[in-house]
Amino acid sequence: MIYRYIISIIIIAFSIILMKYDPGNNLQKIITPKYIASNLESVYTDNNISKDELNEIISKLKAEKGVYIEEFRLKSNYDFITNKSYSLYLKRDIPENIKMMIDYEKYNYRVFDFLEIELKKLWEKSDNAPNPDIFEFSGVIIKNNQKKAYIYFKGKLKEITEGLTLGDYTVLKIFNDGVLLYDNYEKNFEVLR
Amino acid sequence: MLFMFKSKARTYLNIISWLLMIVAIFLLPFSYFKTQNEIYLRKIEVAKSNENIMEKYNQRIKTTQKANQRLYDFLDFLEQIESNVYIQGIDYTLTTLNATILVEVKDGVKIISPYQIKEVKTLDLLYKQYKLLELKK
Repeated sequence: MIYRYIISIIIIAFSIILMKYDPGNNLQKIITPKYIASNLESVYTDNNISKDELNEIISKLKAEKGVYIEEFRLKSNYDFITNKSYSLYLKRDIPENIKMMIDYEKYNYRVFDFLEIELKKLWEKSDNAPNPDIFEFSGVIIKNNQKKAYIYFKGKLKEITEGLTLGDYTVLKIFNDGVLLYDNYEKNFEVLR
Repeated sequence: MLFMFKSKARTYLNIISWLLMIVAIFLLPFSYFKTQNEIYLRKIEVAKSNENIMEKYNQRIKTTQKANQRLYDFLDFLEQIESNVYIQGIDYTLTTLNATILVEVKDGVKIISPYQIKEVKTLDLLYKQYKLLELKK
């Protein structure tokens, strides 16, 4: 009889343990899949970005998975002289569960480029190009191996150099017989002779 | 009397032991099946949860690809124009796309575009002409 009690108690205790058993901890959930993001900040701003860097960024963006491009604002800073750069504002929505991108296909968009202008050729053909009324050409001197032009602006003599900005105008090139200007507002080439 | 009591008590204890044994024997498979059922329900719950996670994951991958593709399609469109194209500016958001481009004027080049095109200006280099175009979608 005593054995029946012992066996019964063991069975009941075992049954209670079995009923209280929580399988939750032993059933492993699958790992949450990871989205793929590049090392770019979610808000990325650069006001002096080259075309190669831009192609690199686009290549990275194309290889991302699960990342929204919320804003992509690009502006060319090209001044027809030396500033061959873009300004970029990029805003992305990156989810929390991400893994860093390791490798990506490299793209090279030819449209991220700058128009090369043959300024000498443009000058030679600029006989009929418009003249800005607000400036009057005075002359050109070479000082310390640098060409400088003198113009009258509102009756005052002003010294100008290549690359200088005068209101809407950019001084593109100083020639011996005049100055080639670019009107950034009207998007015209104008000459001072 | 004492003998009688002992005997009765023993009988009751004997009966109780059997009853306890029967209860224990019935309880064991009950608890076993209950636990198995619990495991099965939890597995279903985990499977459903995983299914939801995967569905959300795939959905996000799909929608982001579709949304971002608008920007890449635009760049691809510019790439296939048979003339020199220079991007002056792109203003892209999830719902809008505005851009300004400079295209070299060449004989025989016609731009067939899925974008609204507005000609802004002719950039005359006097030896070559370029059109400044605004594109919108």
